[in-house]
Amino acid sequence: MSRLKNRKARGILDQITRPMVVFELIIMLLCALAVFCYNMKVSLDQRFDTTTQIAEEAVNTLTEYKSIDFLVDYWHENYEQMEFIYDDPEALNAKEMQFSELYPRIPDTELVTSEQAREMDAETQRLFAEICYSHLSTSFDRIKRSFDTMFLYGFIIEGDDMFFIITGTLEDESRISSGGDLFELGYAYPYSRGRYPTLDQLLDTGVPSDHIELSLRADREAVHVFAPVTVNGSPVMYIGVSTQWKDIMDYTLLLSLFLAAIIAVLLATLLVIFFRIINRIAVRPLVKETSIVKEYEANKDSKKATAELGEIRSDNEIEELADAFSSMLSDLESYMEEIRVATADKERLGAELDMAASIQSSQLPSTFPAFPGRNEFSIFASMTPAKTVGGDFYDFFLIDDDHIALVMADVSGKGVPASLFMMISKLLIKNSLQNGKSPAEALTDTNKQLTENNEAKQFVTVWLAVIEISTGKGIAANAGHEHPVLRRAGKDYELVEYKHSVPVATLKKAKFSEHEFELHPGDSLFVYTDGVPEATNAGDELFGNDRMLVALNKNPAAGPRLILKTVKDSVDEFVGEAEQFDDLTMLCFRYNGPESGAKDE
Amino acid sequence: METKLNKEGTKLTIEIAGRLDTLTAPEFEKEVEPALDGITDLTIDLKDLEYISSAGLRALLGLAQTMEDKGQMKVTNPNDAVMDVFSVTGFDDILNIV
Repeated sequence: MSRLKNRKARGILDQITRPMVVFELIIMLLCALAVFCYNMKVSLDQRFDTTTQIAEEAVNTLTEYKSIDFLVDYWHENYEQMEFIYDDPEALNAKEMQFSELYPRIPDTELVTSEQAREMDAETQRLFAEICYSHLSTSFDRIKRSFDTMFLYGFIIEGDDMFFIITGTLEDESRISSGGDLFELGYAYPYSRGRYPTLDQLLDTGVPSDHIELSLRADREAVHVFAPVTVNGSPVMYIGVSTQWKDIMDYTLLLSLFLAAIIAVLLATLLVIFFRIINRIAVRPLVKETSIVKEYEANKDSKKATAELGEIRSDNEIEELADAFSSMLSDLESYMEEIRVATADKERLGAELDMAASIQSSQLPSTFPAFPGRNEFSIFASMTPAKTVGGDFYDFFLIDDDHIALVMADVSGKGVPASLFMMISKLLIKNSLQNGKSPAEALTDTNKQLTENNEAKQFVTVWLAVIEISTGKGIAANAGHEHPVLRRAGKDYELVEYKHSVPVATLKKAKFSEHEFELHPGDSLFVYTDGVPEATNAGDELFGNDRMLVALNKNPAAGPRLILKTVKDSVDEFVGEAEQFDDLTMLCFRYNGPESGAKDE
Repeated sequence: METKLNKEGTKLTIEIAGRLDTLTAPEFEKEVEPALDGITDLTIDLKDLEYISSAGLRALLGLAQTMEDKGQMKVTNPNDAVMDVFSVTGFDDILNIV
């Protein structure tokens, strides 16, 4: 029982769990993906804005120098003669002192115009360019540091090259000249179109891109923004800013995973709650129902089962099922009671029928030899009843010392009514004959008695004969019965066909005829009921009179007992396994003659 | 065995074809009995009946007895073999054969 319980409980939850878990995983992945995409987009837009701001900051820093166009040209053409001062305030200070001595007109280098710069002598120009470069370099370093930028640089386009002018450098980075990898003034980097679409656009149209398109290639996990430095509307150089977005991706990925985890936990919790509810409202009541039913199966205590089923309160279909089951059990109980009664009735009836059958067969003379000491004839008869009580009967008795009566009859129908009718018929016939009536008179008497109150509309076919033992002369009557079979001594058995009277109990005023016949020593009479010719095999074939005659003539000289056995064996062989509907009743009488000393075999 | 029932008001014609014997007689009785309600004129047409045994005779007699109280019954068109059976068993005296 417990095995069944577990299996069932696991079944339902299992069936729900699998799709739910798959569903949960899909939801989780979709949420994570949505969060990832959204966050990437927002963050990248922010990063683009920031990067654009950095570029603007750099552009502003450069354009504060009124002579920026001059400076760019100068740096470009004279970088090889220039002395670069990076991060050396004292050296810078010395140069500034030197410059202010040489060019005292304008103390602030930013305010020097291009025209003024061009008018300087070569030495002053170089000093001026070096000081400005140093200042701007420091500014770029500062901008790069404060915005955590990946690259910040200024360049001009010279043919197919990006000619680097200025590059922001952090403390832990080195310029190419110091063995590092940051390009610096004078470095020409071959540029191929397509590498930076935003730069291509800027160069083509003069307008910076206002959005970015992501490229996930490993060397470009960065946002690249380019901005022009313009003087009087024409670009003198370009600023390039690259900020990495790998950190955004890492962050976003982490955020998405975190969110996915939260969703997973939430859904799992939901699932557990769901399972508990299912368990409470469905699985447990079902398990209980199963165990109640199992218990009922074992002890058939429907009251207990009904009471327990009534306790199931799940307020859903399972409760309905329990109720339905409960009423079914009550119905079952009453049906079973009915069946018990019916079965008892049937058994009693069966027993009574058996008794009827045994009473019926005990009515038939069944002791053989029937008349020990009477050697003038030998007689043998048998009835093999079919399943139910039938209406066949035979009879033979001595009316007086010199007369023997033979009766073979078949009552219509089967069962107890037929058997009762048979007993009455048998008694009436015997009575009449013993009162000295002839066969036809006996049948008329019997018919009169039977038709007086024959509600069941039964009738009986009768062949009967009275034989004078001393002479072999007989009188026979046939009321609708099968043809008798006669064998003259030394010959074969043959059917004796003649017109019969109507069966007994069919018509109130029926007339019965009789006829005389004579038996000679060695002659035999065989009479039977329709159970013999109408014995049926599995192929629905009837045994028939012809087969019966063949059986009789297998050994025609045999005595009555053997004759009956031969016929019976033939019928059995013919019928095989098929079920028999009718009784098999036969009687054989052999006349040996008055002088015969032959014994009944 | 096949039976064909043809009912017209209180008149019923039953056609029996094939064999009427121990095997088929109970079936025949079962088919015919319910149709007899309210019938006063019953005709049994035997033109297609090939064989009749004592069980078949009983079935016919049963019908004749039932109809005794209700009206009339006649039997028509028995073939020679069937007629022989009727006369040998004395049923030609019981049944109204026309």
